[in-house]
Amino acid sequence: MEWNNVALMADQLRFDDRTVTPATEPRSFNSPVVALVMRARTGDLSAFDQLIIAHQQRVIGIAWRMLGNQDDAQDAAQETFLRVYKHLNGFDTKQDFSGWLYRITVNVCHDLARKRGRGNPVSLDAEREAGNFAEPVSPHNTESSAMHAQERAIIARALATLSEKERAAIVLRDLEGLTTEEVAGILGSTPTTVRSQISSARAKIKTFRDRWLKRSVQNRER
Amino acid sequence: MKCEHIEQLIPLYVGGDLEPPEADDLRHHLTGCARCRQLNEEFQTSQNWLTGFAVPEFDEASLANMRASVLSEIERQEKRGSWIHWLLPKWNPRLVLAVSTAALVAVTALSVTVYRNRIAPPKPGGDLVTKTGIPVSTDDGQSGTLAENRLSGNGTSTATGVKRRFPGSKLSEPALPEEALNNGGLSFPLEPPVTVPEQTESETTMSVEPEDKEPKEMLRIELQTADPNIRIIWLAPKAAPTESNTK
Ligand SMILES: [Zn+2]
Repeated sequence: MEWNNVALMADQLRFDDRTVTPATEPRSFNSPVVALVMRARTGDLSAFDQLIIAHQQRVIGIAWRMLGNQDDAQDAAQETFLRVYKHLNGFDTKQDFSGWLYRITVNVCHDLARKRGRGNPVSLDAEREAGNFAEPVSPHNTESSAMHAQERAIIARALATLSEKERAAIVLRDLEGLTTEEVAGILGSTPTTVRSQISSARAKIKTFRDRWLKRSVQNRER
Repeated sequence: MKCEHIEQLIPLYVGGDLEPPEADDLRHHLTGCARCRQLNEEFQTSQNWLTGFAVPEFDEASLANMRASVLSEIERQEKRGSWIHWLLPKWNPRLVLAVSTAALVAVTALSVTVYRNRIAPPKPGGDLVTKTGIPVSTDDGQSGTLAENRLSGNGTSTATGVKRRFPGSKLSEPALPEEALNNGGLSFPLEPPVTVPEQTESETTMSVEPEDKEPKEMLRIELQTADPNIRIIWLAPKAAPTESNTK
């Protein structure tokens, strides 16, 4: 779990800069993250701020991929950290903090998507009718940031065609690089179900991309 | 392996989600099947396209802004946080609701008892008013207001407690407990009149009548609320008692 080690190292670095946990506290602190959690539980907001700093990029990244735009992603990240703080007492310190955090993130994204009326998958035809289709990025032009933005928008739309569960599974597995077992843990599911969801999601994304490419070729010929 | 089976495995294969023996079988099939090889290449391209989906960089300023919002919201909520929550952080919201409802009932019963004790033994000659010089309604109003303050205090702290137990107040908070409490609060008027749950009579919507049982200086005003069980009775001294009033 490469990313987790990186996050943990980041925590370690930040944590070392700060006053260390009092010696009286239990030795069960298996990571600096847990130490920060324990301090935040007592109302130490600077410790909670450190927790946010250590995880904000990943949380907002997941939210961006789940929701497809920056404003919603920021709202979701904000709401996620509020929920985390409120439920900090319920966090079992033997658990993996990141997994717990991502589970909350996914739930917040689901809630936000439903609240904004985007709980239903977007169909390719609906997208087409809405004129939301951009031209595919030509390979020699990929350096341009505008192209990157366009590419991102297309992939975001491809993700939007998935069901909520498929989207969460594919974002965590393929885009966040978690293992199938980790994804299952976060989504409260089984590895078998997650495999089925990611298989279906990859097939749908390929179909979306095929149709998008086909349509772009037709547009160019007109 | 048959092509149909391979087609189902390819989406998992491109993401490295097959067990090694399965992956070996699939690779073996691909060497001899152009159609499946083509499909595999397409899936591989699509997978690379997807995994190349980079999230835009979030600038430090907007991240700092997000953190500041979170921390200030936490501080704001903690200022509002009730003593109940801090004393009993593990309380179940339903339990809090049940206890506060019980407290509400107890305080109401107490108010009624106090009210009846004051009214029941009518002192002869309008002692109550003339001696103290304080109208009964004000007196009761005070006790009513006190009770109300305690009630609303309870309601507020419980509501806050409920809020704190449920995350994401904006998004997923169950509306029931707070609404229920608010409604409970609304059942009890804030102003001087004493609220008495009535089991008997259900006639007038409003009546103003000299009360025979009361000292003659007292005026009794009854207001029937929409809830048939709740009647508001207002006792007030009659204005400027004269000979004609007292017969
Ligand atoms: Zn084949």
